[in-house]
Amino acid sequence: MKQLRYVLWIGVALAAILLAYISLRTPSQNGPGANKSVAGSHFGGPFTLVGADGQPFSSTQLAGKPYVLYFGYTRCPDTCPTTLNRLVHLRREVGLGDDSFRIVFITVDPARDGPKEVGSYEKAFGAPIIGLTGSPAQIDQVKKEYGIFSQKVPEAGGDYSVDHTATILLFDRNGKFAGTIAPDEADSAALGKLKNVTAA
Amino acid sequence: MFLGRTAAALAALLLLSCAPKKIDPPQVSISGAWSRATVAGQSTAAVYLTIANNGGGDDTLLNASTPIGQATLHSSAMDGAVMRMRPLERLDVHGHSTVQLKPGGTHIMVTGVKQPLIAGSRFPLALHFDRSGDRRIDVEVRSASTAGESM
Repeated sequence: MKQLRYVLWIGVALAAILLAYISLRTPSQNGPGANKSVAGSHFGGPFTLVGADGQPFSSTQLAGKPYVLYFGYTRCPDTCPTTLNRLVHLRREVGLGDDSFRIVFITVDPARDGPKEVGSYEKAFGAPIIGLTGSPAQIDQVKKEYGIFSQKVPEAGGDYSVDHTATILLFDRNGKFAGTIAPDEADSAALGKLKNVTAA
Repeated sequence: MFLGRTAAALAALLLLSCAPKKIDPPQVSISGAWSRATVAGQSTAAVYLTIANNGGGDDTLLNASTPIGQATLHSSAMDGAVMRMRPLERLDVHGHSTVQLKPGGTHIMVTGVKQPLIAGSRFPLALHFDRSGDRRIDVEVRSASTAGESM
């Protein structure tokens, strides 16, 4: 009887170890693997945010043309301007004009990025870019829907920067998710994807 | 006598091992410094440049300063799909090596930029090295839409 009890306890311990192993292996929703599951049924969806003119901007306004979504923040010195400038250049290389697909920039830092700030990229790159902001709740909702992670990181002097998912999300003219471009992906591969989504 | 000789030999050995090694000085030069043009509403900029050390000795970039804002050394790195940017305490520039500060990697972040940076203009930047001291350079402001770049 006592032996049976030991065996049962060992069984319980093994089950606990197995459960811990499985839960550790499951990728976190916010982690680097987050956009692997983007094709799932819960990915994306309609949203209403605030445009550079301070007016509500509904995702229905994007219908009819392909578009790319990129999340960032305007005080981002390096990655965000690099990525948006790259998208502007790639759109020229696609060769179908600045309206062949829309470039949509959504801030993950609504506390510092108002309509004026998110509108600055359009002027900075001399090409149409739709800058969007919103209330913290609106931004949280759209981040959740699109699997975007962001986290404030304190800087010297009470300032902060923001770590964020830097993946570019592609959508066709019907608003259907059509793939991603990684920031470190080669231009040739990125151009191929953009040509496909504009031709579709 | 024998003891004295041994002691002298030991002392000589000790002296030899403590003697400063002949250290080549670093020879640091900076080139190709540029920054993207900004517009009203943008208060942050990044400076990219190349540091070449043609000397044999190592050096370290400790920090930078510019009258246009607060300069700090930063690195950007992908962690899966997430871009993480962190302050760098120092940047080693080993002897006979070249370090590139470029988009998507190590850069000098400038915050609190009050006036937009106009394409074609220049602004001063001082780099403070541990051994080479201060190097003053001009940073060229490039039009954002023509500064072709990929990470």
